Amino acid sequence: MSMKVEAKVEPSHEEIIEILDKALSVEAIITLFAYCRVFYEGRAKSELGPGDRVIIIKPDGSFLIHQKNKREPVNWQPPGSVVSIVLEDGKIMLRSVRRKPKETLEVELIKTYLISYFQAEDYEELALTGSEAEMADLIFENPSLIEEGFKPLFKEKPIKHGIVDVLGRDKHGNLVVLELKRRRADLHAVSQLKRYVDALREEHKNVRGILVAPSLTAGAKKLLEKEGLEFKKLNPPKREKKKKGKQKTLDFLSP
Amino acid sequence: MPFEIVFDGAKDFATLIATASNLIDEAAFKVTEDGISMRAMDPSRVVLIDLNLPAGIFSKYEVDGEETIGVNMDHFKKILKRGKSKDILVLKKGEENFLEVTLQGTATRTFRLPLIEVEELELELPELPFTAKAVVLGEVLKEAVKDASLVSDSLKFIARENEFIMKAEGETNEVEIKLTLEDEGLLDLEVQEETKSAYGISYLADMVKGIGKADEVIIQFGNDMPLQMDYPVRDEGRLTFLLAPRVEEE
Repeated sequence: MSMKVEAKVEPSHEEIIEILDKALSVEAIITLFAYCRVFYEGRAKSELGPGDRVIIIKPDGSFLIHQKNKREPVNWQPPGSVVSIVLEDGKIMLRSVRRKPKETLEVELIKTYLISYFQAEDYEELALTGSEAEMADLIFENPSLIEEGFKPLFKEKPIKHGIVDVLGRDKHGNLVVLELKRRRADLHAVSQLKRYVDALREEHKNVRGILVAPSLTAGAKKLLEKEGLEFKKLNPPKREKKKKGKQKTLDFLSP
Repeated sequence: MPFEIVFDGAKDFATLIATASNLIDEAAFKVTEDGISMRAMDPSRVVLIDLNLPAGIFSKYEVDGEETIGVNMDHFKKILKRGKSKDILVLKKGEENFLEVTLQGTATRTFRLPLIEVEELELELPELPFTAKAVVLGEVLKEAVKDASLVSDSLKFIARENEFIMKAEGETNEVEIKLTLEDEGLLDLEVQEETKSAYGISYLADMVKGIGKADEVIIQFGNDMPLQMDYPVRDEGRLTFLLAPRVEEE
């Protein structure tokens, strides 16, 4: 059975093979800390003598070898490369092959300190529009979007159990915690809000919690009602695309 | 047709060629008895360059007839860059297809630059119905372009009856450079109607590189029309740019 995360410190060759096989079959991210030697052959040929490195193998085939400094990997293969394990004369090697152009990266694992895999689930793309910070700005500019008489006081206010997106007061003087989500809010968002509300209730009498998001999942709605929390529908602001203007040419001059 | 042309102050000439070479890779210089001229369009066809150097700005100008020479601007620029401000520049062509570039200073250094085939641009500098004209100090324009490049990739020129404004707006930052005739930097302003137009910073940056801080630069533009920029070279000479606008789509 595969787990979300599995790690083995100072694994034997057998354990390395076992974990790698498992990780590759479930498409997990594999991370190794190892004292290793690296051979590269392709458009050029290189050898990197032994040293302690971090090796990351991603489910898409990306293969990265990082040394302890610098941002970029010292050796790497792009997505689409195929990784395999090679046992040769008692040595264990990781091999990553790219088809076109033909490039082979081999890592001889002289000593492996750690091998782990992580079944990461991540469906988000880097989205630059309508972040929660922009929702907070929108609410500060226009507090009545939440309700009449709402007065926002703090943005990203640290409290005991985390950071509250927006903290304010309603017209009756109740403390109001806003948890902002730029996408459909799920159970996790509700429990997050509940945690903040509970924390504040330890010191304040009247605390309301409002989940602010474009929509709610059914589960989130149920839990919200059960916990006596509220929901306010708000879409993240669409960032106004600066009109850049289209560059014209002088072609009109041509005969 | 052989020629020999001498220019005092090799560095100034280098700056001129460097400015043009930012925008064009090769150029056809027309050498006549009256002077040297060059007209070219940058590869993206956004900027037209028109260089006019009358014989009078040279200390020696011996040209028989007419000749057009094609030059790789990058090579030409690099050679000229070797000149110091006190060096005398001699451009010479014999019967062979080479341009001899001599820098006379503490030593006489002669480069031979092979000439290339360059198609001449069959295009006159058009007379466009500009509605605004401003004469500014080179320094103002150079600084404005630098200011604007911090916040955006385009610079808007706005001319009103009593003011000339350059404005750039980025995602978060903005800059406005405002000039009235009270300001030292604005020497003249003629506005037929309120005129606004935007231009790409990267082109402007290349265009202003060679301008001297104290040069008087003539800027003419119209609503969403090209911008014409003229600046003098040793008084009688002139370098002109015509830059296509950036137009906001509805």
